[in-house]
Amino acid sequence: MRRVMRWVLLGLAGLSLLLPPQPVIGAPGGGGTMVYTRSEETETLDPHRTTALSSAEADSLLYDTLTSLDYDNTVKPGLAERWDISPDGKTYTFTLRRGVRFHSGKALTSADVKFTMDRWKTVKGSPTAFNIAPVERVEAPTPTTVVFRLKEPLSILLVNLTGYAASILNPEFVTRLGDDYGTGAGKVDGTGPFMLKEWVRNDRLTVGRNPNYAWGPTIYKNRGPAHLETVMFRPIVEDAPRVAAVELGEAQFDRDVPAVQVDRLTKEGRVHVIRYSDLNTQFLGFKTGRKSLADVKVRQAINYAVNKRELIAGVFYGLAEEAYGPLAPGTPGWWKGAIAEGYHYNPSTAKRLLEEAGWRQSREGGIRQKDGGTLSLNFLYSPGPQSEPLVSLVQADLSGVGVDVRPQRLEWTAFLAALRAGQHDLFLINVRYVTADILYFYFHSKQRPAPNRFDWADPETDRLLELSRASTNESERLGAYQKLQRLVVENAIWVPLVHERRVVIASPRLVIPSMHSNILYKMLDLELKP
Amino acid sequence: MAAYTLRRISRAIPVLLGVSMLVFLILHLTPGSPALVVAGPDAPPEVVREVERALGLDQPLYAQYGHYLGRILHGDFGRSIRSREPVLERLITTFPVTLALAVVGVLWTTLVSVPLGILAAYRRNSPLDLATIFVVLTGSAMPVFALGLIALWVFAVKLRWFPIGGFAPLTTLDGWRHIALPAMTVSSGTIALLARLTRSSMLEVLTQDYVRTARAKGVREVLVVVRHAFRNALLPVITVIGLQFGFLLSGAVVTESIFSLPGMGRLLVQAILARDFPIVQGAVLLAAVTFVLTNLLVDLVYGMADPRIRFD
Repeated sequence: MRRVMRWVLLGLAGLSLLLPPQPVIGAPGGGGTMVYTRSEETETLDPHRTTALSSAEADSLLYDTLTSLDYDNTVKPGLAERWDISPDGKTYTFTLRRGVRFHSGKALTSADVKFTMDRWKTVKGSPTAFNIAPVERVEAPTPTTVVFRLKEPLSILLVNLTGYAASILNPEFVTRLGDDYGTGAGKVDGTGPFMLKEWVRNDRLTVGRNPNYAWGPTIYKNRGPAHLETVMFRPIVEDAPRVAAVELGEAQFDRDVPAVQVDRLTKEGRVHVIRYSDLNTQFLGFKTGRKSLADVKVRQAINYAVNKRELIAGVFYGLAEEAYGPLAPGTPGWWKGAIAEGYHYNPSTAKRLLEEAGWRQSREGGIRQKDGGTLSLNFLYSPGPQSEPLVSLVQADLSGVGVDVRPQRLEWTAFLAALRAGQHDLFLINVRYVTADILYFYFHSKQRPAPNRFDWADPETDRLLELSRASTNESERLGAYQKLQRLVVENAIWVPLVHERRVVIASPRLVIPSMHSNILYKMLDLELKP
Repeated sequence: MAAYTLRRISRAIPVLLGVSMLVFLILHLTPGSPALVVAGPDAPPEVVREVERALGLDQPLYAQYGHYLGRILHGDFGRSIRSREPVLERLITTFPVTLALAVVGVLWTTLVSVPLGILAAYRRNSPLDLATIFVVLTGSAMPVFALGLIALWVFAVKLRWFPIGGFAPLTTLDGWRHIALPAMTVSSGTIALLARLTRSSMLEVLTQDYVRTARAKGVREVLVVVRHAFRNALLPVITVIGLQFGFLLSGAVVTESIFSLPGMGRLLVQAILARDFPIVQGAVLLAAVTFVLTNLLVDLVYGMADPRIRFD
């Protein structure tokens, strides 16, 4: 019996020992396979049916757009080699590049562009169709000319056309496949630098180099074909194994590096840690229509009460910059005055403003009261790597000046629903953008109850937003946006908290000439050293 | 037995109907519409309304449920709200992964816990017995996510014996290397349960008269334990293995996320968070069918193991 037991135990323990170590994914070499990890799975490869970053990343490789986005977020040619805008800003005439072909071999014509734009605008349930809504019709007078006719001028049209949602599709595929379009290999056709090879959902999405590609955006030294032979996207939910995959060489790039690991990764030096600023603002938004928040002094006081420096050190591990206005420095049209005129941490000023607004404390450390009511705010937030400690610090800061905060954590979808239903006094959210035009969506009165979740309805704000949206004069447009940022700061509609820095890690073998606001964008200049 | 099986299957229909209705109601009564996920946080109100209309979410609840049932009877489980892929296709690709995890998990559980339970009972109160209880309880007391991450760190990251994650078919050696760590993790709790059950069941049987008789006849000790005692101690063990199979299917949710397995558990979590109603409904229904079938199978095997049981 003892012998039997020994064999059983030895067998069990030895089962794993007998297996030789082997890499999971074929080790990259030669032409180069880059394994790209991230925390979530690609939703769909139909660009008109998603808002997910994971889909946008793959779409940038599979498709091309009429215009492209430069590293400094300015618009450059893409599939359209040039364009003319009529003096009234309502007609855009694009000339298409010649010799462009879809992966299926079909030549690109203006009819494909017209089909794509018509579909984007009309496909049922398209979440991004509002980007092209002001376009009344698209015409294709010659095979290489596309004309966009607008109901009203739309200055951000060219920027909107750089987005993944404006990817040019092959009408034959879309019509034939219907709802199946974009759901797997053989069900996608684009003109991009990579072609879809395999898609095992939740495991890997593999794209291979398009050998005929020669029409990359002018922002790249290499216009095509790409240096990399294959790119494999792998979704790994857990942070530790995902980061370890790059450290061990099983992957070459990860875009979701948790801030808590950055210090260790930098010290150990086994991977390249790349910190860069994409445009984002993390802020607290007020529901300004609430009785207790209607007085601008209360909102300003809360702005003064939050210690952003402490947030950056304690929550973001130093990987963020203090925010004083709605937009991050580097955004075209950013208002420099925000730093000087914004609200810098000063609890005594906060207390004074609250007193002036009539909110008094009956005892030191108590909650402020006015007309029998207490200054108590319902604070909604959704789970995220930083949200818990951030909410606690904000709660402590506000409690220090006599403002009671009742945090309520809601899972993302429920959070958005609660905001739409107006269940908040205060909420925490992070917004990412490429241009100042995001302000239109957040502050125009027509955008209530969401994404204008602040009850903000002000004729001057609307006028400035409409002016900047319609104007084709760049300096007039950006000037209007600067006035608008001042207005947002003066009225303390938000508490801008931080502009977070993005951190990605890459294998030392991977050569990345520059980071893009679309992360690695079309990957044409990436190289993998042997 | 065929009549019994048919009767059991017919009885499962109201159960499945109940499950589908319950899931439907819970999903639709939870705050947060899938349209908000599809449209994204910056979408204007009219876009959210348009997406809701396109998904049929503006219809009354009873109409949506009736429509859903009608489609299921025609074999149409709908399409995922997020990926637009047919739900059935999605389930067909993810279910085998979860099934493989559960089957290997049950095999591993049985392989470890039954011999350990027998040995512990046979050497009752010996250091071996105590050591078995200690090891097994430690494993079961540890949350799956902690055990999974530790196992991953030690065996995949540090020792590099196993891959960090992913899945390959079990027809290849690579497939077994991918499934080994997740299967061991997912079965850590059930190993403890089954080992203790085998031990107590064996202890009871080992004191029976027929065991003493067998020994008195001079039957070899191994045969006494395995053929005479264990066969009779097997019945509760079979029941629990069957039930644990269902448990392993649900335990797969965490394990699949840690080990990046493209299975149904991970799909279900993603779908719940994104309010992808058709996927959640399809996956829960499939899990319920599996549970019902497993229970039936256990009852049938029970009859084979114990000739006293009759199906009528």
